[in-house]
Amino acid sequence: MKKRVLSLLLVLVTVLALCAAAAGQSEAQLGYVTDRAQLLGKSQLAQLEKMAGAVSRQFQVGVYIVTVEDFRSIHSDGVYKATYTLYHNHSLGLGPDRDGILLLLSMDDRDWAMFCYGKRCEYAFNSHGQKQLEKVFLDNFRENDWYGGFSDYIRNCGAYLAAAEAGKPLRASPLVAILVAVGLCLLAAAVIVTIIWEKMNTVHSKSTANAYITQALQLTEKTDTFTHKTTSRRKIERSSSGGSSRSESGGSGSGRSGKF
Amino acid sequence: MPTEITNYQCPACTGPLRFVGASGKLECEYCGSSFQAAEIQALYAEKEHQAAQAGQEAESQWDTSGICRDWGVEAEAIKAYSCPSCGAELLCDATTAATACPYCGNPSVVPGQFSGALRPDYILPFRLSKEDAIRALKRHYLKKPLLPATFSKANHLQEIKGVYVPFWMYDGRADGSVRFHATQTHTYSSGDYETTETSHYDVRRAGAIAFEKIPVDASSKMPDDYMDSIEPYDYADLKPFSTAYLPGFLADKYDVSLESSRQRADQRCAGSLAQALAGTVTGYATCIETARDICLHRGKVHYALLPVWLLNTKWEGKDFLFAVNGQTGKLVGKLPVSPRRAIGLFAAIAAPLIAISVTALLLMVR
Repeated sequence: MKKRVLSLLLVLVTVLALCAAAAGQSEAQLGYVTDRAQLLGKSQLAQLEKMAGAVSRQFQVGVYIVTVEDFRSIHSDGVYKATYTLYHNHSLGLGPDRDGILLLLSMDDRDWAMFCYGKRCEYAFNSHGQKQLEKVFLDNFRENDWYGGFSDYIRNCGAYLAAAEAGKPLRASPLVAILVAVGLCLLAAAVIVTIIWEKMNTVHSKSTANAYITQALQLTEKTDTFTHKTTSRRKIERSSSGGSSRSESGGSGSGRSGKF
Repeated sequence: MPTEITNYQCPACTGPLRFVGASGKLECEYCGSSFQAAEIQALYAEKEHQAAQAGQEAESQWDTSGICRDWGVEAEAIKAYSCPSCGAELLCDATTAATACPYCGNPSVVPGQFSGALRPDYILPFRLSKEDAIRALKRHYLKKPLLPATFSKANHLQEIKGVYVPFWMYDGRADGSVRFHATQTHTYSSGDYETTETSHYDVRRAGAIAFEKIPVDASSKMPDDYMDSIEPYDYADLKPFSTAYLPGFLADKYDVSLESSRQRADQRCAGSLAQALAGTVTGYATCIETARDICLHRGKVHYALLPVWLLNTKWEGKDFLFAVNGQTGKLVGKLPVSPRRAIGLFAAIAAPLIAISVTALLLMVR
């Protein structure tokens, strides 16, 4: 009997050990920094892994970096979808809500995407925060300074998370938007009052006699002659000089993507 | 001796008859009898003829040259009649054609004002009563947030007059062409540049429109803009002129000549043609009229009396005039505006809008 119980326990322990090993393997496959495109040296990789791990553990929000040759190997529908697919497939994130931020670089077409997941993460990196964050690393990436870009990214993630923990997350100043909104509201109110004011006077001279037309318009001539063409050109204002990026949503989180 | 004025009296009790718009009949206030306008017209045809003749004779008998020299032009603008009911002297404008005796209140008609060449072709009888006009005014005060609170309460009607206003009605045709400068735009992006191509067109439209009975008020006493504003009238109810529709209302003969009024009708015809031609220019981003050449073919002119209720009110020492179309009930007028209410309304609209938008913005940036 004892032998049976022991052998059952042994099997149970073996199964648990195998599961743990499998989970460990998954974690091992994607650390905080995964350089499949081989952009970083070994020491750089180790240094970044150390920095990202420290920030992640301090704030319980995973800060991840993944580089790949082509994002289509993960998801063919776009770099942002590939990023959140990667995040969820590898169960990235820390804490019960799996909070984390993942930066993915796809080198074939120089695509990038950032994905934020979890309430605490999205509190620290709202759309304005994400927009500001991309500025710190895109300049480096455009100059192929991978280590510089990644280290700036991790450092700034730490700063954003620290600010959020202190209850002062990075937010856009609403002053300009509020002034514009107040101006528009005042204008709308003025237009409405003017329309009502105009209705106080219903006396107006008539310039047409449409009510007394007995025979509708008989058109005898209808010519439209093209005379000339004028052309004007204006430069399209870009948000950043070296490429464009845009806000994204999906994968139960939010983020941004673009080219560098 | 026949007088220049005719009283329409009830054939049953000799009480004064008044035309009532709701029934379309002449009704006696005393015995309640009612009569068709045609009946009374036939009954009084001879009397009217005599009254008109008396008017002409009076004008030919009296030498007013001396009066004019002594009393100025005002003497020509005033006429004296004798009320056939009570014998009182009625002093009226030279254009007055129907009035009421200030002493006995009986409605009186001056048939001479509408005899011969001065006879109107048509009359549009009143359909609305005085009470209808007052109700229309009360309704007009409703839903006017800028109206001073005391206006509808403190102001009181000074005078309500049902007036048959003389109108010239012009038939005609406008024929002509209008040129427009029209543009089409096409915008496309190429590289870092956005290009806008604007194609310019010389658009020409020509055509004709026919009009019938464009009304132009022929009384200098009536403000033209008020008379324009209470249009349109439904001409289906136009009747051949009869003085039988006049009792109970005021009426004037025209004092603005046909030629003086024609210009306003011409402007409206040309305006309608240009507007109709502009309506055929479609498919362009912009269209600006650059020239017009419109020829007006003038047709027949009619002379008609159209029904108008005039309501005068006084508030804080200022007079306010309202005109009601006596047929359709359309009311027009200029109401006073309370600056305090205007500011209050502005604040009442702006404050919640600002509160909602600012709150939404603050929530968005959180």
